[in-house]
Amino acid sequence: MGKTNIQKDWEEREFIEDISINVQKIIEFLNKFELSTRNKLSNVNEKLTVLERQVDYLESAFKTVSE
Amino acid sequence: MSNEGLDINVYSQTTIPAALAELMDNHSKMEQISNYCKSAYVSGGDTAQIYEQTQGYAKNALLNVAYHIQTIGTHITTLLQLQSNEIEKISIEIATLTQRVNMIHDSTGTQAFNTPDSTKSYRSTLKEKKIEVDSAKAPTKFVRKQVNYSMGDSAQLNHSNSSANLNGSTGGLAPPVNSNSSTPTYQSSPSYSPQPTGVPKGPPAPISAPPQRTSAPPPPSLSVPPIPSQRTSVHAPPPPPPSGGFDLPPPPPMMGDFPPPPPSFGGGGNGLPPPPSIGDLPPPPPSSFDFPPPPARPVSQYGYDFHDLPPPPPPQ
Repeated sequence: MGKTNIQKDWEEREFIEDISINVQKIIEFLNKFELSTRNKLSNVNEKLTVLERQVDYLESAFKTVSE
Repeated sequence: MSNEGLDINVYSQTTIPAALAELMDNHSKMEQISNYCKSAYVSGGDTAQIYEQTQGYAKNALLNVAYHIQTIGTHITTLLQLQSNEIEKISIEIATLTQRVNMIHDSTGTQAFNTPDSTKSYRSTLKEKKIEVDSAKAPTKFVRKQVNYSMGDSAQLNHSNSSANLNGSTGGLAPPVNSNSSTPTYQSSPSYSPQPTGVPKGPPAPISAPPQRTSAPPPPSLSVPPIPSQRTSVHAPPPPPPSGGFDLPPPPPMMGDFPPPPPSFGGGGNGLPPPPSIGDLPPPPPSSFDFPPPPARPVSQYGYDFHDLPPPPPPQ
């Protein structure tokens, strides 16, 4: 009878530990994903700024040609 | 290209927001499930069964959250990849446009865009002229430096002449300086060095020098013996140096200058006490010696025999 209670207690503890470990893994994944997405977004932003400058240069060049 | 654009719009406008909304719905459902399990466990009944159901719900919720996170992450990554691909395509198109514009400028609009170049060429020619002028002046500056070196040599000669003149002028003033500095050195030197060699030819100043001797106390490291007394040194010439004369007795001094004589054993007709008689002598010691003790020899009042000494010098 006592063994069964102890076994149940250990099983409950094991289940809670598994849940907490999986939650920690999800949180770790979210943190890594956040960092990677920030890096990708910064690269995209940089490329967009370069494109905007190039577009502005082209617009000025076309304006001079039209004038 | 249009399909990718549509995919980007679909991802950014429909799929990702739908996934996020579904995740939020699951979050609300999970709250409801947790509240149900809590109420069922508190109300009573089969707690073990309720606990097992709660465990199953927790597992399914965790899997559902992980699945939704994974799906949303993949959607976001694909969206970013599509955006980067689209930006690369746009950058390539812009590069082609810039090349076309440059080609148009080279073919048609050369004069309109080369006017500032012509002014720049004119400025460069002016700079070149300035550099040529500087290069022409450089050797002249080097020659001027050599001339300055020769001037420095002549300046050194002049400086040597001027220094010689200065030495001559100071040489005339040197003896008085030495004469003036002789007494201060004698006064300030505590070791009583020998007399200075640069003494002037004029009459000596015996009044000024001896008081300095009397006033200055003899230092502990004296090499020269001290002066005997002040009375003899004030008006009389200094005594001769005692070179090897320590063995000789001093001259006979005056009687009034000395303390009373000690009791002596010598006898004579000079007012001295008579010699002791034979009867007053102590008996001879026990005869361990073969010879009797020698008789008492006439000894002066200063404690030495007259026979061992030479006669005193004649009075002058």
